[in-house]
Amino acid sequence: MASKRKISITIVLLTAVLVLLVVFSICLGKYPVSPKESLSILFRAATFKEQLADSMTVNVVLRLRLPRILVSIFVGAALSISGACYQSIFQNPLVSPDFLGVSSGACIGAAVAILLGLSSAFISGFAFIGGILAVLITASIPALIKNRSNIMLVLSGIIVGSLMSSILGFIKFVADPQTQLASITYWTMGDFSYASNADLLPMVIVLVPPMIILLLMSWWMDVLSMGQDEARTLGANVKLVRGVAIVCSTLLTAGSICFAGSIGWVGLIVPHFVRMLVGSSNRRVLPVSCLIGGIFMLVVDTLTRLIGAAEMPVSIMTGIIGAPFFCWLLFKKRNEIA
Amino acid sequence: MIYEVSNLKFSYGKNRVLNGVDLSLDESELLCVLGRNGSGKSTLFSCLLGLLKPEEGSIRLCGKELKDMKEKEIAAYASFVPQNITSSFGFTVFEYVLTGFAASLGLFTHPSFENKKAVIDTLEMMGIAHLQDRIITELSGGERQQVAIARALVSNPKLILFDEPTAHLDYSNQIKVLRIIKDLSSKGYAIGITTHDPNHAILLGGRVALLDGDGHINAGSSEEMLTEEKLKALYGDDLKIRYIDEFKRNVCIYPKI
Repeated sequence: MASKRKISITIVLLTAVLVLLVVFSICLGKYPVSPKESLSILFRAATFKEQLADSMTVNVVLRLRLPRILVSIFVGAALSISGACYQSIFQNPLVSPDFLGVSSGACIGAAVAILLGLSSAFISGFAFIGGILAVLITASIPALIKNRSNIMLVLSGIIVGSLMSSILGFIKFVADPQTQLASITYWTMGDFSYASNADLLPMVIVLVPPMIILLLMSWWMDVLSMGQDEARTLGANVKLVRGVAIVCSTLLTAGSICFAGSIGWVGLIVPHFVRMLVGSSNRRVLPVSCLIGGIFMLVVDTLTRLIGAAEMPVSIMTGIIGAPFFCWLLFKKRNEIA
Repeated sequence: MIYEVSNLKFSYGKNRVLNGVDLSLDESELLCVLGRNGSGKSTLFSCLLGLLKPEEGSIRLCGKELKDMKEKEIAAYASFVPQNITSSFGFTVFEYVLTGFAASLGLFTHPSFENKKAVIDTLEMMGIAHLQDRIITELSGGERQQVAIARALVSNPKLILFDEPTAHLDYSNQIKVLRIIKDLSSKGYAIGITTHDPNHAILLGGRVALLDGDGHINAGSSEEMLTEEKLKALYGDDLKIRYIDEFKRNVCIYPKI
């Protein structure tokens, strides 16, 4: 089949672009490293053939830039695939991964940990728990009202989201403006500068399994996007499929927030862009979203590293790129939108 | 027997929509359900598909209690053609029809090569293979209905339920879809269809069930059920049934408005 070959080519090309960008991004920054040097360090580190000298260059490449690059790629991929899945589950292409209250809940968790003066591992842990708790509250409102329709879940997400932002506002209000407020603000706007090698293993453990599960069940996202009733008449076990998909997408969002803070726009625009590129079938949309999400996040984070004297929070950049891009997208699709 | 429904009751809150419905549908039988807006035609079909749980009464599908059946078991016997197919996403006809295999696939399995071939075969049989790469939302109403019917057929069901399949169609497409339905009926599929137009029931032949405003149903042959007095009782208007010699069939007309 021609389309099958085309999609394999797309995936190979995007992977190549991603690898190139990784090398490129390692070389860029306040402390320049030549591509040759960075490749040789990466190669030697990967093969463990010789002990690397503890030089400045090696430190910058392996302890600072590489972990940061890997975290940004994984976070971009996780947010994009969970965005694509949420959009299918709720049959709404305007849904973003944080609309069930995940990111506002995670921000509260992180803010509480910052307020208590806890270490960064605790901040991540609190953020994760906060995000999951917020989604549980969102999910329990429709159950209490005894109306499990999608629209009820969306509305309850709005309720929980605005409640959470009020609570966050209160925490900011009582936080110490000199130190705590600044870290909370960085948290709520995304920041990769704390990424370290210690993050990599937990990140892989938290993000990779749900990602693989979603990729394995990608075709079912097509079925879910027909709507709950229609999916049931098609013979889908909607409770199970929808449940697994929501749990995995939520784990990905909460997980990525706890490594990088809350980052807007990525989960909304990347799936849109991908659908324009490869069509709507989720067997193509999900893997390509992972790749393009990773590429996009890496580029954005590299830009925030380069522009300005101090590091800019990531959400500023994703917003500046995302809003006009979304406008352009709406312009292209203006005839389809009633 | 495909469906055996007895004493089916269903309410939305305090509003009882179905009040002791008895109904049956035999293999390769065609049943046309007529009723006013809001009389519960769609509710009846939702109960038959297991989407709504009846308060009382029993529904048996191919000899099994519907409430004990899983979604995939129900879907293996019964396919449903919705009133109008829409999607927020730009699925192609091929991708859309492929979702018809949901009942036979596991959580981590994807449609096989055979499934894909079956989609192409079905589209060819329906004469719409040329549409396979088109985006469903860009098709005309008639084409969309054909695509929805193709999806209902790929899973090889015994029965197809149509919820007002002609509601969004122009005149020529209405006739086209009715012709397809009649054709499917003659191929041996059991068919249930809701419609607003008594003429569609006449054209399709088969059995007719009248769902009145009180949640009761009356079924019989189309000659038996489509009489002036019964239609007057159903619609509250003076409808006339006339035999047209030239076409050897009845028509239902409004004398005036």
